[in-house]
Amino acid sequence: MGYVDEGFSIYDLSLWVEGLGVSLWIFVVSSIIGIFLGVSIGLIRYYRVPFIGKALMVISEFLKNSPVLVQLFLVYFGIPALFAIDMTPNQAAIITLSGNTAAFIAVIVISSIQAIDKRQLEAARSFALSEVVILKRIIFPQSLAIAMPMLVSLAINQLQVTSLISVIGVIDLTRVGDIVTQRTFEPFIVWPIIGATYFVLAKIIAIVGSRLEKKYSAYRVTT
Amino acid sequence: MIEIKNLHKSFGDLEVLKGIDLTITPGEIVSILGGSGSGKSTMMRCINGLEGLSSGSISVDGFDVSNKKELQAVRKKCSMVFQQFDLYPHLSVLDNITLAPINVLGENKVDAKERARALLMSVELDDKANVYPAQLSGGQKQRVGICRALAMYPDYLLLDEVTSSLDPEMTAEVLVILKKLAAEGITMISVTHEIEFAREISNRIIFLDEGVILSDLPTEQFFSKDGGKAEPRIAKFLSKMGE
Amino acid sequence: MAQYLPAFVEGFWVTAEVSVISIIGSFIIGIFIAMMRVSQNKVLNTVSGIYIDLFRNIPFIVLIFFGYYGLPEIDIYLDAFWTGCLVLSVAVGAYVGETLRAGILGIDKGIIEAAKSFGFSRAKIYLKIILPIALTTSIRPLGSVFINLILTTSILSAITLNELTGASKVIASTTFRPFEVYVFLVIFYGVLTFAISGLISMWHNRLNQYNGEGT
Repeated sequence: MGYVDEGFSIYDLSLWVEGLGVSLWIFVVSSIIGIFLGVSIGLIRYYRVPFIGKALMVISEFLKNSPVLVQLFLVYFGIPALFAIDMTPNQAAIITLSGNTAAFIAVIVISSIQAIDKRQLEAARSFALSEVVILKRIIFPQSLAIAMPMLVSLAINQLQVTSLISVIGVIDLTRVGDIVTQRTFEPFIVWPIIGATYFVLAKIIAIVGSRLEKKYSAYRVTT
Repeated sequence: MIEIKNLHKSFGDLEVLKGIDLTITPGEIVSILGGSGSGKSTMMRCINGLEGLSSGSISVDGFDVSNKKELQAVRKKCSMVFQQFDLYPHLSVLDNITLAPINVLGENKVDAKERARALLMSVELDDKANVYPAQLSGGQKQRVGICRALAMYPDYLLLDEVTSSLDPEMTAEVLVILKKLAAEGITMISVTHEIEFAREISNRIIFLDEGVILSDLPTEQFFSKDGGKAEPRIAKFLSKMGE
Repeated sequence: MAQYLPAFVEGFWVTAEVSVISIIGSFIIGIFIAMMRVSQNKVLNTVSGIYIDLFRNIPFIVLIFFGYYGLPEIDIYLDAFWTGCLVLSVAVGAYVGETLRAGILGIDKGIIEAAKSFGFSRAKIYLKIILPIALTTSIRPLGSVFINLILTTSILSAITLNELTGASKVIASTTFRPFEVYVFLVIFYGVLTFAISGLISMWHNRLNQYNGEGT
């Protein structure tokens, strides 16, 4: 038996930090892109733009109702094969998660806009306010307030989903857990720590989220 | 016999019942009147343990309401009919009536169902046995509620504002049945706003005001000028209610 | 590509088996968690609260790796299939518990009081009134939890279970046509989800038509 079972070292701590960094980076970037995409899709569907609207709706339904892991495989293995391009695991992760997040955000956008009393919007339009101004000053603040709880719970969910990128080779927090466990054979130490890290991150999002909810609840005017 | 001794009940800082002493003997038909917030519903809910007592005691045929072990015995003796009907939405009318006899009294299913149908017939709802509460009108639901209560062979029938959620027509439906029951000799304690009805069927009127019993008199006396009406607050209440 | 159909179907059956077993397991666990969560007993309440919090905030893949690599260390040797069923049942049980808790709390208090007033024991109130009503009104949200469970089974491919996704991976690499295979798989899961959620909606409406909760 020439294989030496290494214990934990300070190197593992730095691995943990790196993995955490990668997970957070991909989470943040895909969330931001997802929000932009999602809001655009949501508005396109709210304003009933023909063709694109319906097409986007069909695609988002499939993104919302199929496993993210399969979507990751599709992007990481499928697209490079079809288009003969190269893609790193990290790129595939960001592309997939952005699209997936966008699909959920689009739904939240639509339902929170629809939750605003139509009569307000009618009144605004009757005053010949431009649609852009209406969007900015009337729709946006109120729908944001309505959407906040849903957005927070989506964020927590998408954070967990990032753990799947480890399967396509991204060296994220979960992959670090895998690497360290394979080396030290201490799943009872490694995995609880990884789990706890995700747990704490989720709780941070929840706390920030509830502060934001309180802040924006002023905009929730119910006539 | 129901004995209430020095009953006090508070909800947080608000004292709703401020020392009630009351005895009700079998065969009496008692109506409890009073304004909103007088504590009448609360008092009745204390009798079958739906509200806990802050202090004092209530015993039903010797069983202490505050004693967890004796509470079940109390509940078997008292059946309640509720203002909001509170029928079990997921069960048919028949099952609503037979559920307690089968599961609490241990009656067998066949007998329970037979009795339930007889009760339904007496309130003219025998054709609704397999229908669900959501398909019934308010008056019909309350009649089912009464059957559900009677199915338990109660010694005491507790009626908690049973017509307050009904329109005049349905109220009349229900009162007809209650009149019949009163004539049959059941002990009835009824919290109600229906003054005329109370006058017609009860032999005793208890008037509650701000958590205390202001008057406890036989019906005739309560409604007479030098009896109940002598008390200014009662006179005011009665005139507000159109008496 | 049709020659790969049997492999695909086999994967589908594994997915179906894991799903059914885990749905039953998580359902049973969920009922107990929900009852604990609404109980007056502080200990039961807190413990179930922690259980729910834990399993809702830790990624499933972390849980499955913990189970798959950790259980052998304490001399429990389950294969990928049963590890998957176990972890899924425990983890999804938290979601079921939370959903049923909402269902229980949503019951009109008057109905429960009426039952109490007739002398039913606590157990009978739960069995005959609370659980039947909560379950009936919760069919749609529970359905969505279980559909999610089915989608989550795909993660078991990471511990080498030959379910639908795992089988598809093999097909994709042997045919060298990953794009087609995975597009097909996405559509397959999507259609499956759509069909199941349609059935569940119908079932929910039918059972709830008499208590104002249908549609």
